[in-house]
Amino acid sequence: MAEADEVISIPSVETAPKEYTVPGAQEILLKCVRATFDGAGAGGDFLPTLEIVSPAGQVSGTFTADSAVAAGASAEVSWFPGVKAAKASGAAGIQAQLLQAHGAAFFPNGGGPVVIADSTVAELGWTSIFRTTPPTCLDWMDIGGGSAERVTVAAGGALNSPFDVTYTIQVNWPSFTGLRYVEVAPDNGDPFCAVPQRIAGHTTPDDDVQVLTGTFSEQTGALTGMVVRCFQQSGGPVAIVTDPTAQFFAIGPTA
Amino acid sequence: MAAPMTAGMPPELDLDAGYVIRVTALDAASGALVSGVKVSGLTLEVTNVHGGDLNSAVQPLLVNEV
Repeated sequence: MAEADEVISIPSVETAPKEYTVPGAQEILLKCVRATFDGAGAGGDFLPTLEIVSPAGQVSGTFTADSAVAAGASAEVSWFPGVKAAKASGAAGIQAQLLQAHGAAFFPNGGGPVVIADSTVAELGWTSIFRTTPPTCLDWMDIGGGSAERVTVAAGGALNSPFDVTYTIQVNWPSFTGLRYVEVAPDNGDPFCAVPQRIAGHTTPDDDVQVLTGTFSEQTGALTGMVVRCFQQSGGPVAIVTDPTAQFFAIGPTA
Repeated sequence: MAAPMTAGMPPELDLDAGYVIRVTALDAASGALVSGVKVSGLTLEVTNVHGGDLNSAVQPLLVNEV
């Protein structure tokens, strides 16, 4: 049967979360989602949120409404493409911040040589970070006893939340045949960072340069560390001789 | 009366079997689930790529149904 547009309706009332699972052997293109939220019994203000969860149980996408619904109130929420975050009342415009990092040091290894043993996951820490100011939503924290840094994200500074972050991480592996990946994940489970996201491969030379790109919309002022990890299974130990790099770009309405 | 709200999502998310579309209510500061929020009238507009039955996963009564 040819593909066709359909409406899946689940009218029942449920306590959040409410879910739909794509049935076996099927595939859908999601075009629009609608739901009614009744906050009469809510334990507090809330953000209506759409999450996409992989079959492995990982949240691969988080999409929130522009503003919170007050406890006791109700909302009929529609998600569809092309909707941008609302500009905050009184905002003068938009601002952006760029953060660039390089000078990698892996952990564990005490921040030392960039070498990964077989079947080992190591965090990619940075020894050199540059960022523009303001705003201050992109920053960094010490890891490995202060010998390297982890990029952090938090709403605030000169930006109102939510703001969007686009990132690119590039790792140049030496030539070898074997599974390797690069991934980024929040260190505190922050659901607004739509990660972990990963790029993986096992061939050479096609997978010797891995470029991981992605976006997420940060909603909160809670400090979130963006942990960049590398893994290689059987090529090693593998010494990465070319300086890995990372770039984070945040943009949003001014506070 | 429920106030209308809109939110963005990527165009035509391509989801295979086993993917879960979850509608939930989160705390803006912590990201934690906010208790006691009722969700109803969930409607998904989709393109059915293979033309099979998409409603087999829609159960009349779920565990957390009230």
